[in-house]
Amino acid sequence: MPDIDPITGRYVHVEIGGVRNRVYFEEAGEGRPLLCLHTAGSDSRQYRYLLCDPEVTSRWRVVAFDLPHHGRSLPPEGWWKDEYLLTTETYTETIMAFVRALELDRPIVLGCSMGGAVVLELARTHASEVEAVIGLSGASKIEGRFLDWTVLPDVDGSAVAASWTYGSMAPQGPEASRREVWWTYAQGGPGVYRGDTYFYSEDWDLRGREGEIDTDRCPVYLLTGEYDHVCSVGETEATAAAIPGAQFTKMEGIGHFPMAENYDRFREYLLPILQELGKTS
Amino acid sequence: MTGEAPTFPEAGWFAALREAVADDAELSVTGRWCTLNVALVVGEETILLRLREGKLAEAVHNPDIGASWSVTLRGSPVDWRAFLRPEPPPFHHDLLAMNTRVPSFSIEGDRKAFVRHLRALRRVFEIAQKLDTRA
Repeated sequence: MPDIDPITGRYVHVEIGGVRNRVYFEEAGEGRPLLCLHTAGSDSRQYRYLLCDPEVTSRWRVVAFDLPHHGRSLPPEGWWKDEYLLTTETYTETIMAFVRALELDRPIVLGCSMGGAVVLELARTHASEVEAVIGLSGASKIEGRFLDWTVLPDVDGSAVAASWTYGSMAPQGPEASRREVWWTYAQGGPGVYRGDTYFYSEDWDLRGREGEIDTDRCPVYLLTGEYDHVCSVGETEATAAAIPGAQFTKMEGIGHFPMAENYDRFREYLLPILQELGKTS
Repeated sequence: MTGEAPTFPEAGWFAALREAVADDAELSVTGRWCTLNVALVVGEETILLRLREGKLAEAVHNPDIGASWSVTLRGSPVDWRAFLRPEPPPFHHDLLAMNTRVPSFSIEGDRKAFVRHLRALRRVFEIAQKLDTRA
């Protein structure tokens, strides 16, 4: 018997900003949709452990897609003429276009880092289309991540993006998992990690608008690892405190990439939240 | 760690690091393009590391005016001791984490050189963090 992961990968054509994109996604399981958003400069492979967790996939349809320019989703035609800079508008439009294209009915959206930030924007602006959001390693504002190092011609951008982010993980995670995070970062296209941090660290700023999120309509769960120096526990906690009804959890022995760097430990924090959400209809 | 083992930043500790770096399979592959002089400032003390093709060629304590380097990693003795542990506490676990979150620690000098050699430097310090646990 071949040993095959229970993951199916396919492409869906999605119109974003009037441009047709061929978007790669992976899915596993059956049930209510749980949509997963990868971090800046990486791709949906970060969710491979979650996609293979029967305790999750027995109750949830887990879907993870690669943003255009990432993983197996090619950039739209003409990409060579533009500087890649992800904006709040494009990012939210892309996610909602994907949700509609796949006809996902009020998914729970789980995102990490820039994905952990954008889920708050979804809760603020698309509460009627999203059941709940789970944000990892996100806060109202993350400063100092939009840098040019990875696009300089005398710098190996792929190795630097990977090594730059590697140290934001906790030493407790399995080395093979942490190295895998390094590898997927090293595979990002030139300028893509930088362009994503434009959203995460420059364009998006929730400060002062946290109260616009109605957690009765769209519950918010925020989790950050104690080793995350990119987005600290204190920063996420302050954001959660500013959103009435938001729940915050500090994750021990975890850094910036919970679902990828140490899935076994992360699931101890995730499963109770999914169980709580599973009770609601 | 035995009672007789040299501790950071004693010369013997750097001799052990030099050996461990030389034995490292990863650095023997990826370190070949890493030639760089890095100064560790530990409180009042400076230790100049001369990295040559991914090996620690020399560690010079309190180098004289004739020596130069491009990257300075400056921290208090407490910072360095917290960092050089197999399982350091949050924010002391990584050079960039300390630079961002620990006010007494900084990455100074030619930061572009630091970034260009980040992959190899990261490995050298990973080995350093595990040094005291080696059999």
